[in-house]
Amino acid sequence: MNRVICGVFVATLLAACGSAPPVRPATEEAAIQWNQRGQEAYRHGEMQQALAAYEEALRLYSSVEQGEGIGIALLNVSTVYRRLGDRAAAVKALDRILAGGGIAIPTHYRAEAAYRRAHLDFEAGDIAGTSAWIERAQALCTETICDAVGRLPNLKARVALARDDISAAEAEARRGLDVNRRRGDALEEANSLRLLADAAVRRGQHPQAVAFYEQALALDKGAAEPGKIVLDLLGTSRSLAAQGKVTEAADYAERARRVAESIDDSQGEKEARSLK
Amino acid sequence: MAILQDDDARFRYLSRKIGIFLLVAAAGIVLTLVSIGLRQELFAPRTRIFFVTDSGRDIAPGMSVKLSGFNIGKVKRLAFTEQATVKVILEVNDEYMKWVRKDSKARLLKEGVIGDTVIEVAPGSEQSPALAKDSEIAFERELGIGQLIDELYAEVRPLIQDLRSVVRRADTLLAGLPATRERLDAVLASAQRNFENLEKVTATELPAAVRGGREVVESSKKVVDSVSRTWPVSNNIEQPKAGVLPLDSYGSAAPARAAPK
Repeated sequence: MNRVICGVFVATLLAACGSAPPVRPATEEAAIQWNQRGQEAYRHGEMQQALAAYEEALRLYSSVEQGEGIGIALLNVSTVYRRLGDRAAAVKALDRILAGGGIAIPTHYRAEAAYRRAHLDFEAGDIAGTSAWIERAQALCTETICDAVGRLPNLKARVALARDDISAAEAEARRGLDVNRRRGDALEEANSLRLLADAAVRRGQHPQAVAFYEQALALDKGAAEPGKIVLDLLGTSRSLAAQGKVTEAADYAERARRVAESIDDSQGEKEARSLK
Repeated sequence: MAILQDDDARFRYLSRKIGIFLLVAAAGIVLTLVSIGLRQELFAPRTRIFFVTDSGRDIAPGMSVKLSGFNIGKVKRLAFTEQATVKVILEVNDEYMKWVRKDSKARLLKEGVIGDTVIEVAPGSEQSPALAKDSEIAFERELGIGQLIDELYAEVRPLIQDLRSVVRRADTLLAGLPATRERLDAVLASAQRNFENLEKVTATELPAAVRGGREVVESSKKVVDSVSRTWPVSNNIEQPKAGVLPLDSYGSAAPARAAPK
């Protein structure tokens, strides 16, 4: 009898534990699926398909005024336009997030949008615009959830290098290195190290630069980022050549060429050939 | 005698007048003959050459000898040789002999389909010396229409035989065609019956089967969804969520193609 009572008790307990999590609405479910299709297409380099999928996700999120989804979809639409080389369309998508009023988009997505706006301005050579957007991103990046927190100091370091302010670049890169190590973001940690290496090159401290590049290379290999591996190998090759280590420099250049060739990076390949 | 001693002045010197008349007439005749002879090139100096052929068929004395369509001489005569072949002697005007060389060739041909038969001499090469008097020239006989027809018939005959054989086989095939057509009709009728049955099945039973299958799948999905939301299974299933594409701080304006992950 006791066994039966125990069994009923355990069954009741398990049933209580097995309470169903909240079920998503069908529209949100469909939007998530479109988002995933967009990611798949983007990964395979099919940008038009990715754009169509993200725009469909945006339409579905907009139809139910889902602010978080709208923010995600607009960030993705902007990223695809950037890859397509349509800067104006990329900026327009981000501006829809950054514009106040309307549907409330979570602040961390607005911070991300400001960071990406800064990135686009930096790529366009607008240093003043970049700095202004970085400041806005930092102002928005106050919450605990802010993915851009480790990328902002790195972008500031790039801006400082562009202004030939090597000390500021080093300071920002070191700050970024600390934040990214704490966050366990290997890719951004590697970016911080590469920026430190770039700064060391500017100072003519080539052995130090090689050390930073090699640390960045190890992290990029771990993250399997071939584009970044090419940058690390090219940087190492340049610094070794500057030290007169011609044979070693040529070896690194050849490694860079092979990696660049494997990912159809014609610019990297061209640079590697010029270093050999 | 008085009649013969007529003193009419018109008969005076009659014998002299007759003599002069006869002389002028004779001179006219000679001139005419000379003129004809010149036109016929009877007085032109000629060189004799010859060729030997198996048969004298279609060759006759007086036949024209031509070079590039111009008359250059004649067949003088034909003669049997010791070997029972025919020696044909040609006379060629000397002025044309410069083109008749050792490697020249004489051919017997007809001028057009129903034209005269002539001996055509092909001019020799410049390197070859001119043919001497009484020399032999190479000869060939062009095929006549009869010979051409014979040769053509020899070529066409096997083709005709093959055609006959093909026609015989076609006859055999055509003879079997009605039976084949009957079988084909039966097969088509059977196929039509099968299609009609298939249409009946797809119109009635298949939609019901599909509906049933869909209901089963939907029910299964509900069961799987329920199980996946139940602890501890739900802890092991990651809920799909929308993600943001990365844009790292060192990204270039034209990033390299993403490597397959």
